[in-house]
Amino acid sequence: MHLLKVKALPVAILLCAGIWLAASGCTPKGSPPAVPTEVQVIDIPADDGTNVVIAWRRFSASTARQYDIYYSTDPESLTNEKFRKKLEPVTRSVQVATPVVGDTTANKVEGLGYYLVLEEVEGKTPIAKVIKATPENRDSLESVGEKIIACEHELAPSDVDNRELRFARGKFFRITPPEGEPEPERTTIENSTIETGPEGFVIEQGKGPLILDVGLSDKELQFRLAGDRIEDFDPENSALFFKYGKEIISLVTEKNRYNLSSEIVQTVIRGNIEPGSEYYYLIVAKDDKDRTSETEMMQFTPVDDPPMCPANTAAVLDTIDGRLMITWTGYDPGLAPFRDVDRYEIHRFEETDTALIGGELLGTFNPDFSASFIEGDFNREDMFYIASFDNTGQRSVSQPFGITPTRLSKPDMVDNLALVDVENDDGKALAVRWGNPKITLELNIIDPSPEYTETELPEGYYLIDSGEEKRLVHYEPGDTTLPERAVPVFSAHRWIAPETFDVSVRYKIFANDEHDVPYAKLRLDGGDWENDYQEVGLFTFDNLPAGEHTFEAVILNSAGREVENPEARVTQTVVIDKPGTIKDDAPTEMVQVWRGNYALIDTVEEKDSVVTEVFLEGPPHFEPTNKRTFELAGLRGILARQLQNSWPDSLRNKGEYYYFVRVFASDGAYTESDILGPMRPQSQWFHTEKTMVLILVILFVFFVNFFLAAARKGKRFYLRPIAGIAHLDEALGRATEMGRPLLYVLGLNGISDIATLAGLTILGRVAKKAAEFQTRLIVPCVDPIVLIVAQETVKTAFMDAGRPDAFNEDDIFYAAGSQFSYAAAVAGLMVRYKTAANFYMGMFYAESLILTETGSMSGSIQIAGTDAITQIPFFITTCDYTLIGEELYAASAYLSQDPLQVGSLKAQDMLKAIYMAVIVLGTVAMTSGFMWFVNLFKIRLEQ
Amino acid sequence: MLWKKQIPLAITFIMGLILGIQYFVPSSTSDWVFDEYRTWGIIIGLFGSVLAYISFYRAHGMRIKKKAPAWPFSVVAIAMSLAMAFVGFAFGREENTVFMNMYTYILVPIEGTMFSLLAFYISSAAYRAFRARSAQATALLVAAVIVMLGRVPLGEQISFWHKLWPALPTFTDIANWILNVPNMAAKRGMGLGIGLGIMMLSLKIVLGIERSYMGSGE
Repeated sequence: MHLLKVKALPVAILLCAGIWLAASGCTPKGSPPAVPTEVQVIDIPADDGTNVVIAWRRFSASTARQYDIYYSTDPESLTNEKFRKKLEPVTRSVQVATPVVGDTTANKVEGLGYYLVLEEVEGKTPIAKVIKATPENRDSLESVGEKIIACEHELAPSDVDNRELRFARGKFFRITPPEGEPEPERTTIENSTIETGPEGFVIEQGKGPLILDVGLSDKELQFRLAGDRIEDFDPENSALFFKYGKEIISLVTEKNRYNLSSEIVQTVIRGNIEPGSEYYYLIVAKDDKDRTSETEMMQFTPVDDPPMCPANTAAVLDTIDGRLMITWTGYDPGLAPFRDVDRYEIHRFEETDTALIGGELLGTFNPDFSASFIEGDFNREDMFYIASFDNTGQRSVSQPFGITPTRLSKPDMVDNLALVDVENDDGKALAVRWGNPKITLELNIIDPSPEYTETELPEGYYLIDSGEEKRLVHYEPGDTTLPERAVPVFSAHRWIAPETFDVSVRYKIFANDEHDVPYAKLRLDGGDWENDYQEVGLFTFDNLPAGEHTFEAVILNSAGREVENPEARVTQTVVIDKPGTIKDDAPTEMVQVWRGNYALIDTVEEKDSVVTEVFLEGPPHFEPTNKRTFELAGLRGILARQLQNSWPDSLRNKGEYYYFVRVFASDGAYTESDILGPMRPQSQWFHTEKTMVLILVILFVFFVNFFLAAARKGKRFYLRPIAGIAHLDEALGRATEMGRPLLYVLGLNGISDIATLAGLTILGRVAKKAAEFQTRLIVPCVDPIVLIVAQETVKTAFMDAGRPDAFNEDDIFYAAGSQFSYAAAVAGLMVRYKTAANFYMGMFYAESLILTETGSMSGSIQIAGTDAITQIPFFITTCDYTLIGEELYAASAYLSQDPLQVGSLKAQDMLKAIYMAVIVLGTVAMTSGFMWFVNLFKIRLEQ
Repeated sequence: MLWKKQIPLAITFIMGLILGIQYFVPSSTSDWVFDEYRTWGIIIGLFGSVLAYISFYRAHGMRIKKKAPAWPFSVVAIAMSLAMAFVGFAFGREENTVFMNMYTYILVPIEGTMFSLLAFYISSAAYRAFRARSAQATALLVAAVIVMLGRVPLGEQISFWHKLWPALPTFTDIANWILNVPNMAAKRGMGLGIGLGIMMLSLKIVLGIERSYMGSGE
């Protein structure tokens, strides 16, 4: 028992200590968060009386993290804690800035001699006044205020020191102007010149850029010269405050820290309050440790207001269709969530109806409307008003408004409008095309080396920039009417017009694919034409003399011939005497293309004879004869005079599509076309863009057959010696003599790569020789299919050589599946087996140098062959012999000396000769403008 | 002979012809043929990989059995391939699985190490290539030095003549010219030859003139 007591004592002590620690941790200590001040209730205007906004001021140093707002029609339920818990609080969490301890040494302002004096305001946070001490007021400031020793620009933690945290209203900046004199800056005014007018110097719209040397305004200079100080924020000079000052978050005195920075926090009570009822509410502020403080109970009464008056009203009479379009803004976007509108009514206004309660009712619209067409008989003198009604029948009316005079005129429908099936598209595309080819010119005139003369301006000249124009104004010293934006000007640099300019002419061709007009030509002042067959879209003329010049441009088709229609030619005469841009005369119409495509495209029979219908994507309830059921497919109007729609594979050759277009003029009037279609996208049986490829293939087959026939008749062809192939036997002999194996690498690619196939053809020859010489042949592979084919190739070669017993299947094996694992495996083989000869035939990548350098270091003879152009230099450097590019494909023929194989090489040579001839002819054609010949060999595959 | 020669040649010819026609026909049928061809290729490739792994285990197994040079590496190769397969099937291949961790933290660094060897090999190969033993090798050396200088900021900085006479080209200009004119001409010439060679070999294989990939070619 005694023992138990002895042991129980420390346990009891620990237990007590634990309970004490836990209790102390749970008990809130320190001061609760600040009570929200300046609480106000704002009734939301024009709502249905079920919404109010409650707002209050929160200082940044407050420890409150959450505000709960309790409200009820019964004040008892708010005063009694038990009842209040049953209320659902409207909560507002507050995101606060991370506290930062400011650099107090930099922020010490004790030496500036400022005092803080509080002005108490009934029911509100006191206002902070910052006053600079002078010999006259120092004593009184000492008695009523506190000397400011530091200011903080960051939110400091509440426990930064022992000073009491207090809140005060005020917005002050610590102003610290930079040292040194202001540097004058330059400003450039485009296309202006400085002239002497009746008031002295004036800026006039003129030739070339004008450069002005400017400085700071008097006001800014005075602001800066006032030196280091604390200043009350002046919204009129806000730019200067933000430029030279930093906002003060807190002012620190000997006793207190006054937090000045605050925000208005607000939350919306929505929906579950009754208009006209009296509500009581209070706000409870909570901090991180759930300490609370709450406001006194307050009261509000929500009001059901009349709806908002329709604003921004306008009526436009469509003189073509006789319809009236009326537009209005029902609700301010900020108040849209609280909209309380049942309907809008549009009335014709009568002069006797001053109360706006009568007049002919033209239409009733639901609250989502903000515009409508109204059919009827209207005169230009007619006036209208719009009344909005809320759900309780309250009414607001707009001001009466008349018809805005317009000159709407329908644009012409585009020419040559057609719906076409796109060629070579795999049955996946349709296009709407229209118009004729049109060309426009835009000129950019540059002064290549601008020169200026400097004019000193007398004191008192200022530059005033109103946004639309820049004016030079003279003010007498001390003139108080000098605008704030005025910038003093010291001197002006006047541009000297040069004798010559550089001019670049950019042309734009407005066309569609069917027009086939890729090129243009241009001439200057009736001189020689310059063709742009590179489709650069730009002509440049350097050192063009100032004066009048004429530019002529014509669109050319793909054959290089001029296009005949009038819009395909443009002549522009301009006076070139100053830098600038002369805009082109581009069409202003826009074309909207609308598509209807909701159609049954398939039926799928599932289990139990359930048939599912498959529809194209598109607007539901589509009717081919009703344009309102179409959907917008796109908008065109810049360069392309077509719209092409492409669909995925699943919709290929399916569905019937309908289109129509709307041509919009710049004033918004439009013209609609008839409905085009139906049309189904169709596949073609021959890709017409590949015609030249087919011709070359046929030509090639013809040459192959021709030379094969010649070879069969016994004709012998000369083959250029290829060093790499000629030394194959030497490498094999060396391996035999040394008694070391051969290594054959087929590259990284699969069996579908022609280089791999070429490597396999050479492998067959090498394997046969290896079998004859009884030399071991190792073939590590990276691709499974290549492995199988290589095994079969080597096995057959050994059988053909009469040495099936020498074939070892394990010597042709799968080494690794990834690039560098394979390189490591093959390099290891070279080092371990000291291979006498290494062959690399196929497609290689970055591993080529790792393989061949290892082979070179292990002393092997190396022969490589690849068509990978990037790897050929590495092979040439490290291998003894290299088959470059096409030599790899010729190797098999060279090794076999089979007349048929050699004959095929001759066919290749013939085609090569044709290629060379075509290259020469193509160069001549391109230079001479025979574009039809150049375009014979162009293949456009992107559709 | 029929199974070994005629039937493979017939299959090659028919498939070559079909895919040749397919290239010129922009229709859904044509695309279907090409898609089927690719699908078949993938299926055959999958069967091929089984054979490849048999070959892999057999080759390394024989090396272990015969105690061939460096046979312990074969033990490592077999063990690691089985381990990767096991963890892949057992624990999945998603992110942060054992399989992906082995891939990311073992295989990728090892392959990266192999790749980094290239830097040293390029240096030794460049030294060998740039020895000015003949007129051609000297031309290669000069061109290479100019291109290297033209590709680094130093080349632009040391082109002092350009500052004296701006019309003269800098190292960067000369390097660009070498790459875009003579080098490009050679590459395009080779490209044309390679294209024709591919066409010729393809045609020879389709027509059955080239058969050496099936063995001796006889």
